[in-house]
Amino acid sequence: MEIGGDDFEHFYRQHRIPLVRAVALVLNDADLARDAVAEAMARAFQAWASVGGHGNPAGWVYVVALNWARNAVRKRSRESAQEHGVAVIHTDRFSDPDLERALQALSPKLLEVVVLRFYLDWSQRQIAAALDVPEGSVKSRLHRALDRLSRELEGSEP
Amino acid sequence: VSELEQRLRRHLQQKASTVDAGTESSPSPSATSLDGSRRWWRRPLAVAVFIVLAVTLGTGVMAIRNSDDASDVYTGPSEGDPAYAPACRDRAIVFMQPDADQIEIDVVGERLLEHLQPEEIAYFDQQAAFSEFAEQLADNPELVSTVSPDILPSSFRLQGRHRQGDIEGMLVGVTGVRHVQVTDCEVLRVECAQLAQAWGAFPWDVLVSLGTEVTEGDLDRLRERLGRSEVVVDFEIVEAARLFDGHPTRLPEWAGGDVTWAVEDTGPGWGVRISLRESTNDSDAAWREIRSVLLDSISRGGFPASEELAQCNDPAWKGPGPPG
Repeated sequence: MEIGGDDFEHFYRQHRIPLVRAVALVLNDADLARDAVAEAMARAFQAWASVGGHGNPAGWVYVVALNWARNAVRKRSRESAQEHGVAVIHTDRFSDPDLERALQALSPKLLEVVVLRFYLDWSQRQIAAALDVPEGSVKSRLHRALDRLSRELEGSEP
Repeated sequence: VSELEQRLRRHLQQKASTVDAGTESSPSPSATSLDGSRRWWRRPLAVAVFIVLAVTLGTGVMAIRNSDDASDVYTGPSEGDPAYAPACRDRAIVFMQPDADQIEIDVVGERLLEHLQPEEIAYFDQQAAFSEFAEQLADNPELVSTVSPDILPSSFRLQGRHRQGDIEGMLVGVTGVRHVQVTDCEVLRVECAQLAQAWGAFPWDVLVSLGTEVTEGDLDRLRERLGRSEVVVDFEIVEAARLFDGHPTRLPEWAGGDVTWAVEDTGPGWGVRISLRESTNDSDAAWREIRSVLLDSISRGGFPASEELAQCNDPAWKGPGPPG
């Protein structure tokens, strides 16, 4: 497969917006997600000769973006404790507030696999490759996530 | 496909559709003008420059503060190790419902003071929350204009060693509380160095980034615990910026391997390089022990999941070996 600027252009146009939104869902921060994916795309462009040949370049960009964002959050939180205030989710803004609350109660790792599986629609194998974990771990996390969501939702029903 | 899965897909699609993904042009030089390409690079470049500056300044401060023990090699437990010191100063935030009345706010404040005895406590009313929100979104006035103080939650901000469950338990039955958020001090990251080791260029097995709020008492405790561990043959506590020194690549080769990135990412703080005994044949037990040492010494909950440690044992992580 020829790997060049056109390939990256196509990749960029196809994946940037879904990746920004997936990272935003995981981090609950759209601004940070935009910056993180921009940074990750820049790195992907630089290393496109190797990244483009990878089985799931979108997975590569997702992981790089998330790592970059988490580091940025760490640095930001060190600079000001007050910045945590904007992370509050206003659950009543969504049509399914019970599910939103249940999602927010998940650990970051479980929320991540839920977003990758049910928003980006990646297979368990693709998620495992992107996160560099065994497929069994992805399966286990998904199972735990769905189980916890079910229990949370049962608890929230009148 | 279960009903829950369908519900998840619908909800995530709806929520994602509210995210403004921006309209940046493509970075591909073949498809954009020079100006467009420059614009695209400006933001990440500015961020990268900021990170480098922050790391440089932070490292400089750390070097000045710790010039005597910047390269601290364990030489065995010393007498008179300090008593168990607080692992770090955690932050907790108790968010109130936006429509909480003054009586509810007073009740929560009194309970927090009475039961938690925080080192510091501050109350941020809705106007303060709005000011904070507007300041953080100063580059997006349109969004700020859609928000008014009365929809934002007021909050109590606490310093001290508090567990989320303790606070939530203490507030059971108290009305007006929306959410409790606790920022644990944590072991920030555990890296596998076996890839580098396979290349014969780096002697360490595990690299651990520690939080910036780690105290000297924490480090003393960590030294003592690691020194007693039977699975550890050697370790070194270094400034975080030096954690990856000599590390030929942090990412697998397919990911491009990016030394600069690794160094930039560390930021101020501390790191520890741990070398495991070659005779350690039960790797799972070794990881459990390392985890236990770190949890007991530094962290009280913020620790990477066990899968992240287990991946260090995955042969796939080690990569294909040295080039050529």
